Formats: sequence, C-alpha cells, structure tokens
Amino acid sequence: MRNLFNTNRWAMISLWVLGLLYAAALFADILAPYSIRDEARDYSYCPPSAVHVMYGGKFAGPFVYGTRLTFNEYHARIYIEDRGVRYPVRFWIKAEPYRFLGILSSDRHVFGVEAPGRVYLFGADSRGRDVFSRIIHGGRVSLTIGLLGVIISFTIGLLVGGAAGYFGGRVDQVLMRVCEMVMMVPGFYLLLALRAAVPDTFNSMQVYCSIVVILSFIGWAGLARIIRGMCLSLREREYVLAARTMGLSHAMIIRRHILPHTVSYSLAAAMLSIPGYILSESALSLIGLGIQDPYASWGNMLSEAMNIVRIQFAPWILTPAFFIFLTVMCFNILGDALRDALDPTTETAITPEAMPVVEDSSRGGVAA
Amino acid sequence: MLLKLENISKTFTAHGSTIKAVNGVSLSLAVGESLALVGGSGCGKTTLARIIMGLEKPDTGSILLNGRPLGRDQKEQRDFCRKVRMVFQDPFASLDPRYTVRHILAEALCLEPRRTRVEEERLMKQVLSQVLLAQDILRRYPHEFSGGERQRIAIARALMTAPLLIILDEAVSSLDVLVQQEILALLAALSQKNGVTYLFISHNLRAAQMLCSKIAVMQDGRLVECEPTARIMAAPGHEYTKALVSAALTYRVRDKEQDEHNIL
Repeated sequence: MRNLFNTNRWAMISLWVLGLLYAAALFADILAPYSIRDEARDYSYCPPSAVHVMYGGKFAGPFVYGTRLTFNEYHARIYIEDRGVRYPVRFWIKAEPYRFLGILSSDRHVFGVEAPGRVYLFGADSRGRDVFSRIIHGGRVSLTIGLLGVIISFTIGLLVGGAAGYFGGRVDQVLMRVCEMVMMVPGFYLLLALRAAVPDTFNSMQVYCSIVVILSFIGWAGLARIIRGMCLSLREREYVLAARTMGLSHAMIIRRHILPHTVSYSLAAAMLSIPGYILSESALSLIGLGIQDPYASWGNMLSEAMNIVRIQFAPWILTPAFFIFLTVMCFNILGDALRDALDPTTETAITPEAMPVVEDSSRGGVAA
Repeated sequence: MLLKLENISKTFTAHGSTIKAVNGVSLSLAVGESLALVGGSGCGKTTLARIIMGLEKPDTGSILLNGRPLGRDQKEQRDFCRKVRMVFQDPFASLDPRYTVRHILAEALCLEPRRTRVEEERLMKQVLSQVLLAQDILRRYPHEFSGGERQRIAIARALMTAPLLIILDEAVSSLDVLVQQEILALLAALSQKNGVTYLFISHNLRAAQMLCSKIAVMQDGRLVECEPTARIMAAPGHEYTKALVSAALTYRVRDKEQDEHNIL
C-alpha cells in the first residue's frame, strides 16, 4: 500500500489535497476571517480584494484598499478601489468570537483586516458574506457528508451482502430482492421523495443527519450485491469450512473469516463512492432541499449561481464548484489508485456494474 | 462403537441431472481402530466426510457417536464438534491467511469452557510439541510455513480439544512424498500416544495401509468392501478393489526401480 502512493504521484497529490481540505474544514473557525453569518449588505457581490504589498514604491506588508460603491453606465453596481484608505492584513487578529469545535472559546483568526475594512479573497455573495469563509465552513458539511454516508451505507452493505452470500438460499433471495427494489428506483427521485418525508421543522443539524441517512439508504444496495457475490465464493474456502466444523457461530465466521477478506475491495469501492455522496448533497442543497441558509455547504452556495446574469456579473460565486470538482477528482484518483494496487489486472476506469455506487455521481452530477 | 453411520444417502441436483454422491453407506468405527476410506475421484468420500461433519445434510440415514444418534439438539452437536475434528486436504487453504497461529489454535477452543491465557498458552505449546513444531511460532502467520508445517498446524488445531476421532480428508495428498511420510508417521505416533482414532480418506492405498487397520473401498457412492487391511491387500474381493490394489503394487515396483536407478 505504501508502495502504491510512492509510485503513483497523482494519488499522492490527491491525498495531500484532500488532507489540506479536511484540515481546513476542521479548523474553519480559526482559518476563516469571517463567520458564515457575517453579512455586509453594502458589499453585495463585492469582487475578490486584491492584496497589495507595495505602497509608494516601498514594501509595506500585505494590505487591502478600501472599496467604494458606484454605478456604471448601465446602472449596475461596481466597486472601485479607494486608494486613499489602506487596511493592513493582520495575522492572528482579534475578531468575531467563536467556540472551536464547541469547546474552546476564542476570538483569534489566522488573518483578517481591522473593521470597517473587509477582505474578500474569493469575493462576496449577494449579502456581502465572504465566499472564502463560507467555502471553508461549507467544507465541513460537504466533506463529512461523504465520509459519514459511506460509513453508514457500507456497514449496511457489508452486513446484508455478507449474510446473503454466506447463508445463501432463501435468505439470499429475500435480501437480494430488497436490494433490487432499492436500486430499481432512480436515485435522484428517491432522494427527493425521502427528503420530502423529512419534516421541515428540523434544524440544520437534524437536516444534515437526515441527509446522511437518506444518502446511505440509497447507496448500500450496490455494495451489498457485490459483497454477496464475493461471499458466495468465500464461504466455500476450506478455512471457512474448517471454522464451521469447529463449531464457530455463523456471526463469528462472517465477522472473522468472510468480511475481512472483502475489506481491500470495499475500501477501494468506498473511496470511489464518496464523490457520489458529495455530489448528491450538493445537488440537494442546490435545489434548496439540503442545507439551508445561513448555513453553508458547497451545494447551497452554488444555488446563487443558478442565474446566468449573476454569473456574468459576479463569476466568483462559482468558486464552490471548483472545490467540489477538486474533491471529487481527488477521491476518484485515490480510489482508482487503490483499486489498481489491489487488483493489478484491471486497467480501465470504473465499470458501472462493478461500482454501482458510483452511479450516484453521474446522477448528482447531472442535476448539479 | 465410536462412530456409526447408518444407510447414509445424498443426492445432488445440478442443471436438471441428479447425481447420487453417496448411496446407502453404512460404516462403523471402533475406538483405536482407524479406518481408511479409499476410492477414486468423485466416488463420494469427501461428501461422506462433509456429511459426518455437518457441512452437508444427508437425505437419509443417521450418524451415531458412542451409540447416541446425532440429533438436532444444540448441546449434542457442540459435543460432537469437540469430539470429532477434521483436517482438510489443502493446508494452504485451510488456514485463514489473516490470522496468526495463536489465533488459529485459539479458535479451535471456541466451544470449550473458558481458560485463562496462561492455561491456553500452555495447551497450545503442548499441542505444538506433539506435532513436532517449535513452540515459539505462535505469533507467526500461515504463509511463513511450508506445506508440511502447515498441515502440522492444521493437525495441532484438530488436537486442541482432545478429540476421539479425526477425519483426515486427503490430508497428505497435496504434500510431496517425503513430507507425506513424515506426516503419516506423526499421525501414527499420535494415535498410539493419545488414543485418537482416524477416519483416513484417501485415494492412496499405500498411505492407508500405513495408518489404518481396516480399509473401506468406495465406488460410485457405494461401499463395495470393508475388510482388515492385510486381507484387502492380500486378497481383494471386489473387482474394483483388485484394480486399486494392483495399481498400488505396480506403483510401488516402479518406485523401487526408480530408487535403484537413482542410486546407480
């Protein structure tokens, strides 16, 4: 495994990128100069602020100029730099207080500018909220939803597939028909239907959890089918027969001698199915059924970008799309590398039959 | 009688055709009187072993251990599991590659009353010394051993519960000739020392002859002959047995010629 990452440069890069993204999401409170609710209506669709270091031909440390709102000849709002006002970028600055991970109270941020100046690395959205801060905070939702969803659906998939494959016969018949029923319904519509069943009185945390559960509910069936196939052959291995003759219980045999042998495959499949969850969440949030404003997720930030005029006017509101793209690609490269390392005989990308969970990504992708 | 099989039959159905794998087989084994079950490939030997171990359900017939029929009672089945053990053909497949020898041996004790770690370790070491393996291999994995050593581990696993009967399903067939001899000698010694009885399933009459006092010959799912070893080898009654015995003899002659050739 270590060998794989040393030889495959892209996999290595992907791992680093994902590491950075997850670290950024974890330390979002500290890293982001503003909170997700920090609005500045005067700065609606303010473009990314240019960070300068030279002033009057001399090095002056990083600073941003103030901005002034005017209107152009079409009466559209434009912002121009007010060269008269300078706001130095300060590090470890005292700003809005927060509780880091709900435990540590602090008001320090890695960087920021003194009020009333504002620094927008990736520009501002319609309400003047910092896109950079919201992307980092939104990563918490978008990045964890894939992991949590995969953990839950793979637990279900492994158990159901393991039981169906190991016991065979009627158990297999029943469980596989259930799987097929779940797989039969087009994923996105099932997603919408299940989402509709969630009460709209839920707060954001409850909505988040319900989305995870819904995504897992859709994702487990494909894996269960593959695991079942593997178990059908594993259960005839002599060490499984030996365990049976020694009187081990079925649960113990499945846990000790069957499922561990599917782990390497499952791991690669899990990697490849995470993008599906991320995209599904984005799609759901995009159409307003996922995470609700003011809470940020990459999907609901994109819902502002559904209007072509706005994109023309403020293209930076598309930045979350770039992060979704980056994350999905990294997971795919990583999953591919992992799969290649485990099974050197296959070379092509994912086959839809072998990796049905990945289908979600295309569904989500289309909707997104 | 240690083990008694009465009128065991098993039919497999595949793609519309039926195969009588085992057809009305009755057998009995006395304590200390190891029995060899000999026959060609596909004659139903292994199916019979699997039926005894409960891996297959027989269509008809019953299995008696110490005169008591094996019922559906769970306690009885557990008792059967502890007293009757099986060693499989392929030592490369019968040990789970993910676990250490300690884990593999400990698993054999799953039906036993709980032991302390020290007791467990003492038992493992004692069993390992019985199969002539070093006692410090407990932390190692199956892939670190040769075929013969693995089969010894498999035998050690079978011995963990001090069984009355061990079913050896082609247990030496996949090993090379010298290792076969070693394992057979080991099995013979164990039988003398521990009083364990074998049901030795093989297609190799010579190996059967070394280990067992009685030989049963199977053909096409039926038991065609069951006699003391000496009589089978000297005066085989059934046509099929005659063929088997003469094949084994010519094989032996050829072996000797080969040896002489090698010496020259």
